[in-house]
Amino acid sequence: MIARFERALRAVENILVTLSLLALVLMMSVMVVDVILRYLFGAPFAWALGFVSNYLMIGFFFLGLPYTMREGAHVHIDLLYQRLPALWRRVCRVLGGILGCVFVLALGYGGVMLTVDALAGADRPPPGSAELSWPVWTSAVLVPIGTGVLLLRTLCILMLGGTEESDAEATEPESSVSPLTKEGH
Amino acid sequence: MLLVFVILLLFILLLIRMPVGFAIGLAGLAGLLLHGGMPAVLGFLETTPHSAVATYTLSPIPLFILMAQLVLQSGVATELFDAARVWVGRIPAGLGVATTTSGAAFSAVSGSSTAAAATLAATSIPEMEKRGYEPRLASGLVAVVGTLASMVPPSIILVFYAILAEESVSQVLIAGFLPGILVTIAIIITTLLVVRRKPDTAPRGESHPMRAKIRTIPAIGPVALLFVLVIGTIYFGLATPTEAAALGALGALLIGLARRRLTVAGIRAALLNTLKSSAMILLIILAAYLFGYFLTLTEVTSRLVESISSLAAPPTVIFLLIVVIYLVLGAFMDQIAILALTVPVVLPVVEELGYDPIWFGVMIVLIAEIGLVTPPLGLNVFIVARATGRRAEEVFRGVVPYVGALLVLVLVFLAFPQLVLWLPEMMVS
Amino acid sequence: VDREGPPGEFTLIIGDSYPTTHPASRDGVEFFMKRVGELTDGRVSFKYFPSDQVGKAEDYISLTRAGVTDIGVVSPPYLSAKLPLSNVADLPGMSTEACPPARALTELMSENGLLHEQEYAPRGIRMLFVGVQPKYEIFTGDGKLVTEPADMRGLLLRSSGGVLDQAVHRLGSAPVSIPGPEMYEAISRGTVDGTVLPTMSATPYRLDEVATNSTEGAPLGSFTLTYAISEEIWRQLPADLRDAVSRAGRETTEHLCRAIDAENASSREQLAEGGLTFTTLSQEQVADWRRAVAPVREQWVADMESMGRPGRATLEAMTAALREQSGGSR
Ligand code: NA
Ligand code: NA
Repeated sequence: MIARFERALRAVENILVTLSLLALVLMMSVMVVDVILRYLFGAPFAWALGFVSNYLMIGFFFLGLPYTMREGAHVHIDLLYQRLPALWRRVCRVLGGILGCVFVLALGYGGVMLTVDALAGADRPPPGSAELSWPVWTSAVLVPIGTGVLLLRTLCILMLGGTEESDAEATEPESSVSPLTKEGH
Repeated sequence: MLLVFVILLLFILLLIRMPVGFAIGLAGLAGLLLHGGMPAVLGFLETTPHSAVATYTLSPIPLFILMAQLVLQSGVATELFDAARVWVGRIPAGLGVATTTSGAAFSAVSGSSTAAAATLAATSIPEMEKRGYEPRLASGLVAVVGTLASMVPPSIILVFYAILAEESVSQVLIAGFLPGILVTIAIIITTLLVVRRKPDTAPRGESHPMRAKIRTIPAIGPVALLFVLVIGTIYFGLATPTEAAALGALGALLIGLARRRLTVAGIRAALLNTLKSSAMILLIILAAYLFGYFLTLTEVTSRLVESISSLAAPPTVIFLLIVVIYLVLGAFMDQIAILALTVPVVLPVVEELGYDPIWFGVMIVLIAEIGLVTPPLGLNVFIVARATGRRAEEVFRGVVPYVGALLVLVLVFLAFPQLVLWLPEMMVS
Repeated sequence: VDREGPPGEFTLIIGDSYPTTHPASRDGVEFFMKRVGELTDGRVSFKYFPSDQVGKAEDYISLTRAGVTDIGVVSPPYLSAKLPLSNVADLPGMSTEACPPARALTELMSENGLLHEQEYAPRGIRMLFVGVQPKYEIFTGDGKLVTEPADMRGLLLRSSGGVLDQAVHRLGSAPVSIPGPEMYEAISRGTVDGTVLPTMSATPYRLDEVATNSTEGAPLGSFTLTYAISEEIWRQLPADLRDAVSRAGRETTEHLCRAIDAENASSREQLAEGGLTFTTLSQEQVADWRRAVAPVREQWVADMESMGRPGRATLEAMTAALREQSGGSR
């Protein structure tokens, strides 16, 4: 049952992570083209700043978030955990998992409120201004989408008994696991 | 009372091994709930997550990480080390000096200390141990050299500092250049001093003919090119830091492709690794905003600023006190989290003491670097320990002389702030 | 609101994005708090969080409605997606002074006013006082001199977005979006030819060090900022306190607009001392500029109407209110 759910979730996450990476590649491309246009034609994109902030940064982060949780990319402190007996470790994992779900749920709820507000007010930058005249909800909705899937992922991790299993997987030097911490920057 | 409770909660959440971003965010929300009730929590939940991330000035962070990842996937790090090894020749502790210089060169394209430490651990420690280096010295050196990446521009942590301090990202980045070189020199001198006292810890380098030296130039080329592209663009104001970071990422991609070092799988890995590091950083930033709003609403911030600035001690003493606080924090917390939680509180004090905010940014990074290699939470040390299969305690011991050198540099920059401020001032005059 | 404390007394939380040295904070919020205190015998007091301490400039509209802050800064230029009509005073050619448009906006944003009905009330907020920073001028580096609208052709100008971008674009320049703190180097290094800013905003950015020239009197537009209270809190206040708060708000609008004019004047002096050359436009030149930017207003009306918002009615109401103001005050 859980395995089946996990497979479906994985597929959804993979779609979102593709979009997230697309946003990253677009971020690079838009900025480079913008510089070229400015120097060669004196006519940069007026919408670059708004598009990069509201769509590319937001899409890159929120849509990529569930995948990064699945891969255990978020740094945590193992100072105490490493010295605990197995039972207490389990308590930590379950408690941390439940509280993690609470936090993600809160983020998701905020995202829903933001989207509903933007929809209700029909918020949209006027056409003809420098910003893209796209309805504001199209950017806002990326928050509940990303955090919604992240909630499913945190629930999944909780049901599978915490992230201990996935610890052993990390192999590349960039995501190296230390005795006390994991994945820095 | 509430403050004590929330900070205690934060520590408990961190200790039960919640991701740092989750712990900070949840503690912040709990504080907001207890202080302002449900409306406060819901109000911030609606606005903060979106507006914290939808920030144009944060966009150099993923782009600089992408550049470094693409360079890494092209295998440039190994080539740099080989080149440095050939050039330093028969000097004492040759490989150690080569590790330091190639690490400094790699820092010129990498904005992240931990990525640099992981890379260097893989490229240079095996070679040093093969030549008879004492493992403690080799691993300690690599852990410290890794920290150069957040001082020499580009630097993720300096970008973030500039945003928090509302200073120009370009100027703050450029300010790290000269101190970065001085840190490099300090590391080399420390290595030479250690080896002079205990000559058996590191052998001399080997001499290589001029022909071999010239053959390494193509390996240095790409990094030099990228550095000039990114930092030159920023220094001469040809582009904003975001644009320069985008140019750097594209440049790294093109160089990797042109030299036939980048595969599709390599590019994919670079993109995914960029996402992982960036998401972790951005989540901590988002969470720190929530926590910061709690601190502000309870007026902790303003009271702290008042009480510190009313202390009847000379500015230098107060400043050194701040340095000590940062060293302690650095021993427990993630660098980005420390900055996000403290800069809005501490910077007003520092400015009131009469220090320059750009200078302070470089100082914080230097102190944060020390935190990266000191126990109990020294991320770089753990990365090196894991990569080499050594015990963290051993690496920590190897780091000791270098920490001494970095602390001396803190005092040097305190005495001669112009060492930090000269370049950014040149840049705008 | 602080729910503790004796009955009948209120502590309101104010949040904004301005540093305490900015007139909006110094002569807006501080003055307002003082006046409310005097008019209510201290029954209403405040906690004030300036400088983005509890949110970013564009967040305060939501934060105020949600009850995080009771009074927050609401700047229509940052909120063109939410409050597009309230940008009407910022259109080019409307006014180059601070007081008349602030008074006109007070009329439009008060109970039964068009902007109150259209934009503030539906968002659950109520305007308390308003400031208009007039005198957007063109600051250029490298000795470039702009006096005629034609001089604008082909320039790269840092601009802060919104209607201003349209004016810049209409005059043949390319608006470039660069964050405020990057503007100094962008001009110093020639990344852009210059920027468009109210004179008073050029001083904190130390533009006199990097820019060489500035226009004086170009009718390019203004920047509206308002402070609004949450409607829910408003309803909780007893009638006498509401009257006192309203009155303090109106007095603040008057005080603030004079302070803004004074700030513009002293900024001009400071910039000139710093080596910036101001070129005062002749009356004919100003008329040329007015003609050149006039289509921006019509375009704005068309854009608003295309979104189903009463652009024409708003522009006419604003023009009428402005005419009344200048008629009444002279
Ligand atoms: Na670097
Ligand atoms: Na540490």
